[in-house]
Amino acid sequence: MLRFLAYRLLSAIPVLFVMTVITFVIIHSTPGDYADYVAQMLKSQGHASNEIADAAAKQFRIDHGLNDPLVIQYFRWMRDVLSGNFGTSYFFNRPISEVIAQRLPPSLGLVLTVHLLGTLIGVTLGIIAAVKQYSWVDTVLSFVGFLGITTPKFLFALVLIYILAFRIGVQELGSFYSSYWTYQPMSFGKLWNLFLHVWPIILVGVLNGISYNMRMMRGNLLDTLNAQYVETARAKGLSYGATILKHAVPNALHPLAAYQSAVMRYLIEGEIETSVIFGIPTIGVAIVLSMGIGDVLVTATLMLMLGTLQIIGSIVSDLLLAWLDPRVRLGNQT
Amino acid sequence: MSTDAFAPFVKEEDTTYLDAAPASARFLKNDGYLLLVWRKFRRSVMGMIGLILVTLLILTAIFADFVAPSDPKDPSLAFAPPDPVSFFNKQGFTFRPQTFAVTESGELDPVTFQPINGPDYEHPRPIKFFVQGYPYHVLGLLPATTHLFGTDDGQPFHILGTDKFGRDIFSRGLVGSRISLSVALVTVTFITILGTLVGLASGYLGGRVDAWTQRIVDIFFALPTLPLYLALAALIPATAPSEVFLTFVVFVMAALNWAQLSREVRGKTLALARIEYVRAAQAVGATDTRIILRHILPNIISHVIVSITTWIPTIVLIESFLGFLGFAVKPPLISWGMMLQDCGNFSVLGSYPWILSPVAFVLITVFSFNALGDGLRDAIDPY
Repeated sequence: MLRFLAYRLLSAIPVLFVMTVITFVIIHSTPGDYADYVAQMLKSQGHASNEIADAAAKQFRIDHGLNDPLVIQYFRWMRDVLSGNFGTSYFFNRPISEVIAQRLPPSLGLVLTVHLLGTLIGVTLGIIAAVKQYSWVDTVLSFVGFLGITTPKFLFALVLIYILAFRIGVQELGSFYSSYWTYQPMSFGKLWNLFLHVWPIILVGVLNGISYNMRMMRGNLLDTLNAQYVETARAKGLSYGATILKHAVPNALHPLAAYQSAVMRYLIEGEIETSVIFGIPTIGVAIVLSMGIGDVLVTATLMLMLGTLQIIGSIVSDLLLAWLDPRVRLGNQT
Repeated sequence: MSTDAFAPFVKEEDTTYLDAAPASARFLKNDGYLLLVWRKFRRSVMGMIGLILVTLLILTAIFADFVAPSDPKDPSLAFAPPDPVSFFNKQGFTFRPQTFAVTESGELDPVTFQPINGPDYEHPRPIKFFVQGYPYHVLGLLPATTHLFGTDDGQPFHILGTDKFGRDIFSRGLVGSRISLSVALVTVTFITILGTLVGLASGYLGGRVDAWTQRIVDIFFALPTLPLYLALAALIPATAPSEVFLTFVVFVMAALNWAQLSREVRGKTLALARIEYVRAAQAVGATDTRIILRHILPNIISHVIVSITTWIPTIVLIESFLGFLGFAVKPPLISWGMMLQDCGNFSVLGSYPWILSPVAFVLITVFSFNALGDGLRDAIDPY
């Protein structure tokens, strides 16, 4: 097991390396850089003349080494990353590690909450739908599941925000806390305030997750319910519920565990989509923002973060699969 | 062998066609694969709804100008609410539905100081079929002025209201479906070709080729796609012609999405390449090309077709999200995502909620292609 883990971690390194090269090159080839943004801001906000703005931009490029060849910029950034120092964000004007420390936990919290709720509720509903196949429960759940899986997150978020803000008059949108609670120490009141702000975001993600897991679980469970060992278990006198929970469900979970390797990617994309619409300060919004103004190191570092998260997700999925299925576990040892 | 020997088994009405077929074919004749798939598909309600909707969508995309009641590029009153449609007017009930144009009353709202627009109930305009409207070209060739429905007084008719420049949202949605659907179709074509080819090669050749290809696929899987779209879409200069821009977006979406399909195809190919009839073909010396084309591809094609129907809505969605952020399509081209751009501004959205209506176009597309895909997935293996 340890060897397997070590192998997966080691083989992730070249993948991450190539990925950073690709993203770095793409980010840097976009027209305009942060110096242009500085010049533009000087002109529009500071009423500076063209000469002063251009001189400031030139100085900014020299100060931050933006004129150096891409290769040198890349290795400078890599050296910083490997030494644990991600550099300084131009826009936020503080270390990128601080930006990440501020934005990653809420993002991860959202993503994991959405994923946990979606999986738990989805699997439960899937089991119910499969056990009660062809009943009205199954029909309703199938229809809801189909709607949930086809409803695009960002459109759902758009419509939801319209209904909440303009029809119902919900005030708690666009941030994590109301201004009163922002600098209060953590308490139940603050937690409740947080919930009031994030439930629409979680709802958008969870609906999709529930539908996906439910459909997958229903299909898998229906397949396993037809297997002979289920019949044998019933024949030897095991109760119906025990048969399903002890024999059918663990086997039906198999594809679900395999799906976890891809899930991180969808979760992160969904998080970006919904938080851009809801305008809450998470990783997704930071990426879109930094990309728009050419704050390249922030973009590159966040991309590296997301790539790492996806790879971690796929390793966790493999471990889960091995834990769930002895065939996979033993196959790896030989 | 004469046909008489089997005569007792043959029903009366069947005899006419049996004369043409050889005797052995009569009882062994199986229904074709497509017929079997169709029979099974026909039984799924969702699948049939999807098929009908997809057909309608493609037809309206092709004949968008004919269906559109007003010129999608013609500006009139900005942010006008949808024209009300009713069977009643001041005189009472009429059998022909009527609409009332939204006009400016010249007064300002005392609170917001926005001009007050409202329907003009004094002048009912009957809605008719096949009315004359703005000129267009059928399939880009035949000049025409007839439209499916509308009012015959030559004034624009806004079912879903107008956008910030006063252009008809419904007509723009219809014409925009061309870009949105064709972008999706072209992208999915690229994804399918590339994904299938790479997957087949990787799975069939195996060994070192497979190992290297899978590492490349791994990298594509590790790339955070959504941020990369934004970066890549920002790559082309803003001054580039909109066609160039669109082509680039198509390539970007194809380049970032082929990996998934290739992995699925590889998995299937790996399993198929070890099956007896493929080994037999190898043993008798069939070339790799022949084995792939005759023995492996036909077994994979059903999976690929199903995945096409699920990729189309995905690409439509990506396009609409990118368009929403202003990265996919540039004017004068119209796409659903671009039409949603103003919805990002909450105050605009709050005052003029009907600009959300392109959402309905996207939803219908996503829903119908997914329903079709669901039906096909169940039907594609009819045995």
